[in-house]
Amino acid sequence: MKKKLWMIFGPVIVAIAALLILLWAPINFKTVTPQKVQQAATSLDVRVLKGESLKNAAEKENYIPIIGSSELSRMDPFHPSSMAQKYNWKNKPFLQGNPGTASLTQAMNVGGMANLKGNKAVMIISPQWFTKSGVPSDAFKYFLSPLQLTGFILNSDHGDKAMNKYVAGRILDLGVSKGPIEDGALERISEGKQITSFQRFYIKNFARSSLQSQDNLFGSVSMNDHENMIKKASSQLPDTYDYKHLNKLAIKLAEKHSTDNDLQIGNSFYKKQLKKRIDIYKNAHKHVTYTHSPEYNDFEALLYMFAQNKVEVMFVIQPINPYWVKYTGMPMSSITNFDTKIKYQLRSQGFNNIVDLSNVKNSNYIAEDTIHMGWRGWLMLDHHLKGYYKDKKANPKNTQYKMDSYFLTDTWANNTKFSNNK
Amino acid sequence: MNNITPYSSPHYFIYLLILLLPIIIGLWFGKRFRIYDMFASIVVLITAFFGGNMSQGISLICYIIFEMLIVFIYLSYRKKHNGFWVFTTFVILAIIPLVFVKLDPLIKNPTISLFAFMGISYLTFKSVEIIMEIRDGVIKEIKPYEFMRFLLFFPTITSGPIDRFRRFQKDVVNVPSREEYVELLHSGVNKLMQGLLYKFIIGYFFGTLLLPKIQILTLSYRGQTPLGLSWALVAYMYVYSMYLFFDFAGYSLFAVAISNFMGVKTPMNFRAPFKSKNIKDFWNRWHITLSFWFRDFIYMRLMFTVIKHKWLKNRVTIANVGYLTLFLIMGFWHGETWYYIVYGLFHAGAMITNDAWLRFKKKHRKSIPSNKFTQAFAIFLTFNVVCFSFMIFSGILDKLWF
Repeated sequence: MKKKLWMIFGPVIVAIAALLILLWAPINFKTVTPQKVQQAATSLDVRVLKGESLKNAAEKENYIPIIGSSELSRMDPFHPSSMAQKYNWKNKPFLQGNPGTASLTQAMNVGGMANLKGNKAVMIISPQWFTKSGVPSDAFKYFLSPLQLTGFILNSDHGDKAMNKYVAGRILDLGVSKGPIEDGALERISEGKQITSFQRFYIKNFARSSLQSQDNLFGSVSMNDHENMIKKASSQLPDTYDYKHLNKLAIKLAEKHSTDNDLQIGNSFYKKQLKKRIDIYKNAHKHVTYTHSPEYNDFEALLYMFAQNKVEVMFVIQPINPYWVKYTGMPMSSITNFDTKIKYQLRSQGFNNIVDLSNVKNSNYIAEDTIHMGWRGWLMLDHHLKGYYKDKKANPKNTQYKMDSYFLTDTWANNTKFSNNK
Repeated sequence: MNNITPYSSPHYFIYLLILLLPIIIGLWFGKRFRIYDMFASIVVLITAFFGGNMSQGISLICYIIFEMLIVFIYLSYRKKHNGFWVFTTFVILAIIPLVFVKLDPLIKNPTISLFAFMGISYLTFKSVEIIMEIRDGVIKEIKPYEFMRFLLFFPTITSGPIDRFRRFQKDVVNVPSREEYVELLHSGVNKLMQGLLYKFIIGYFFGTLLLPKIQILTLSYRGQTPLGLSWALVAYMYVYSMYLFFDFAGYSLFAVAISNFMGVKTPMNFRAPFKSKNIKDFWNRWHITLSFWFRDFIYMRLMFTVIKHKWLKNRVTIANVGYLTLFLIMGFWHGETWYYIVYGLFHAGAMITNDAWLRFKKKHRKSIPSNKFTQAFAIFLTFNVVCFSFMIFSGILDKLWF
């Protein structure tokens, strides 16, 4: 009888034991190799964004993150990853962002990169994030990493209290629920209280340690691979870097790839996304504004995360295709007002490195489609990145941030008259 | 706290098995603890139906009282009389709550479905079975707590398999011998593990990872090609079919496994359905307890009535009318949308065609080859016909066209 029982339950017991060891035993599964990191740098796989181990490994090597959203997938020859490969930049871009990621997702992401401390980063801002309703709950939930969430909860006993309160409250408001204990901890943080010792014990020893093992085990298995795409893109570049020459090449390539419309939009994008319904966009954005949005508060949370880790950041304001602006009837003031507001938020707290591509003299072929930079847009950014990428350590003089919790308030989210008086 | 759908997450099993432990130990030593059984049932039912605003739980209680009244009034009536129309009335009464719930989305009046709760269909099937068998005279006596225990047997409450009262009763009044129970534990563990593989690994792969991507791709052809048709739709068809099978079969395996731990041999719901060699074979292997329920309580009875009253003479016509009725009812049962009805009609058509083919084959037995190749082709054809029907069932065409 004993043997019979063992034949029935033995395999189950062995399987459970193996699972427990895999998920909770303090074994470091060395799955992150330099090759994996290299692949992850351009992979844009959502597991890279939601994980921690790959990005923290990359911070120990020669990578500087470019944090953004959908534009990162526009991998033409002038994409920073392609340029870095062709012209052997000392540090390489590590791309973090997908269609739908916005400030709060990136705040969690930056919060999870412990090794970013004292290093540099690039942050591409899209005006389109700053809509009246802010980030859609579904998009945020999809990109919310349980691993980064546990990290945020455990770190909530230090760092800026106003920011922690804001982030916890906002996560709950967006309808996130990752289990009763995690929810309870977020609730407490959002009320400005410390988490209980039981919550800390459970989240640290059960939830987080298992999530870390999962990240180690599965975070880099069969990732998306864009290495060939980047290789192909960079092979179209000339051997020597000459801005004027590259600028001409960018125009030439852009002209070649945007022949079926007069909006300077890439053919494949135009054919797939716009051709059939182009008419409905005519003058459709007449009343668009990007100056009243909860996204400003989310963005502030991201700035706090940078400040906490003394990260030197280059901010890039993404251009919008000027022909598209004209076609959709978007008033130029929508963009200039957004620029003024976001720059005020940045500069007044000591974030002074801003590359504004929304406002350049010659904006022909600056975007690859409607709102995503490409071709000349990338090239202009590369020009700034080239120098910035020479050194990956932050200059302590550039990280003297003066954070102001006013930017976490509704008043700021809806404020359009600011200059200097709050 | 929200309602916890049984078997919906791997965690559920940890709690469930802890709850089951006393029952398992009891059965091991040849005992059924009736009070604890009841307690465990109540705990599971509360977590499943009384989370949140309790509306489902209250509906469930109202429903049980309602069905109980119907069954027991009919039982006392049946002891003295046996009128056809009284019987029909009681059957209709028993399915009225379900009809309301099913009609609800159609008339967009949410107040009408007083009885809406997860699993109402399956409880209705069980109630109707009891009424029909009372009429047949095979169920002569049934006690209120037996009725409740049967209806509310928690491993199968939300989505079957649909057990039969007399079969179930035989299991719960008996205590299996040690040898029998070890066999049940063996079967339970195997099915539980198979179910985990089906639902949380294979079903997850098809349903959560693959399906949304393919759906987006499929729908991107909306208005771009004639009727929005594309190869993506073909891929969607297969992926959805795989998801449907592994998710539901996984769920059914859990229900059977948990029943086994409780010493009940709940019948299996699937038997390698994609190995079917024709559509009739398929319905003997797919959602078996449902198709047998429809066979025994609708199709056979309809056939019998039609033949008895000589409404139709031709046996082929009788069978075909039976298929149409049966699958139309099944379509309506799934929900009041065009694609469920078309799904029903499609299967009726497939059954009728299959019967016609079998008659033709019988007549020309000598000239139609039968070998490994034709058998493989039969399986291939049946599989594709079935997947096509699931594509209709999925409602993707509704999203693509309207």
